[in-house]
Amino acid sequence: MATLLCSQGRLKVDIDFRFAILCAGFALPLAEIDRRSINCPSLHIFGSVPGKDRQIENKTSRELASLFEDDCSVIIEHDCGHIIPTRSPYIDEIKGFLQRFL
Amino acid sequence: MFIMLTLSKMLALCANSEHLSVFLSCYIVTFCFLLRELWSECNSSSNKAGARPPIKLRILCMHGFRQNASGFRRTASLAKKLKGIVELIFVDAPHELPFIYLPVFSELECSDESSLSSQQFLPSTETCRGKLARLIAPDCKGRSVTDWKKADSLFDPLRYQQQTEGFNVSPSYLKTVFSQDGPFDGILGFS
Repeated sequence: MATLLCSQGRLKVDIDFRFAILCAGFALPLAEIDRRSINCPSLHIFGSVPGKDRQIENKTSRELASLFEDDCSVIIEHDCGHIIPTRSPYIDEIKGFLQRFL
Repeated sequence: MFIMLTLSKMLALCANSEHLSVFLSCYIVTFCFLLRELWSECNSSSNKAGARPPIKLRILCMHGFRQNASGFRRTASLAKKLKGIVELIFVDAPHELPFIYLPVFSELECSDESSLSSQQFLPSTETCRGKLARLIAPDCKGRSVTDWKKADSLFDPLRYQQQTEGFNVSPSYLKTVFSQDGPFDGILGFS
C-alpha cells in the first residue's frame, strides 16, 4: 500500500509526503509498475539472505526496491527476522536516512 | 477587518466628495488584495509538508497483515530509538479480519468429540483485539465476527500474494487520515 502511495499516478488520491520507509515490503499483485519508475525517496528495510525473514523473502522485497529510482532509494538488509531492526548498526543507518529530511 | 470598517465609514461620510471617495475606494481595493495574498500564503505554507522547519519528522505508520495500530506500536520500538528525530503516528487499517483460529494438532487428530471439548482451545475473546489488514484475501469470509471460527485448513504463508480485495477502500481511507491528522513528512509501511 505504501508503495502505491509513492506511485501516485496510479492512485486517484492526492497525498503529499516527502519520503517512504518500506519494511519487509512486497509489491501488490494489483499494479504493473515499471522498474526504477517511482520517484520518491525511499528506505527499504528487509531480511538479508533467504530465511532471515520467513514471512517475506529477501527476493520479494528486493524486487519492490527495484521499482524505485536508484539514486533516491536506500537499502538496509538485516538478520533480525520479520521485524524492524532497532539495534546497531541498522538504527544508525535509519537515522542517517532520516537526517536528510530534518 | 476593523480598518476596513473604519475606511468604509469614512467613505460613506465623504460620499459628497467625489475625489476623496475614488481615492478611498482604490485604497480599500489595494488593502483587500494584499490581505488576500497574505491569507493564501499562510494557508499554502501550513498545508505543505516541511515548508516550515520541522522539529520532528512526522511519520504515518501502517501496520502489517493480521496486526493493528496498537500492536504495531508495541512491537516497533522505533519511537524510543529515534526519540527527538521522529514523531510516529500509528493508524489502523480499514479492513477487519475474521476471528479464525488454527486448532492444535491433537484437536485435528481426535475423532471422539465428546472426550475433548473444543472450547478449551478457543483463544480468549477478552484478551484478543481485532486483527486488521490493508487488504484482504479474495476468499476472506465472515467479516467483523466476534466469535472464533475454526480454520478450514492451514494458513497459506504466501497468502499475501493474492490479497487484492478492498483495495479501493484503503487509499481513500488514507486520504482522510492525511487530511485529518496530517501533514506527514513520511510514511512507513510494514510488510
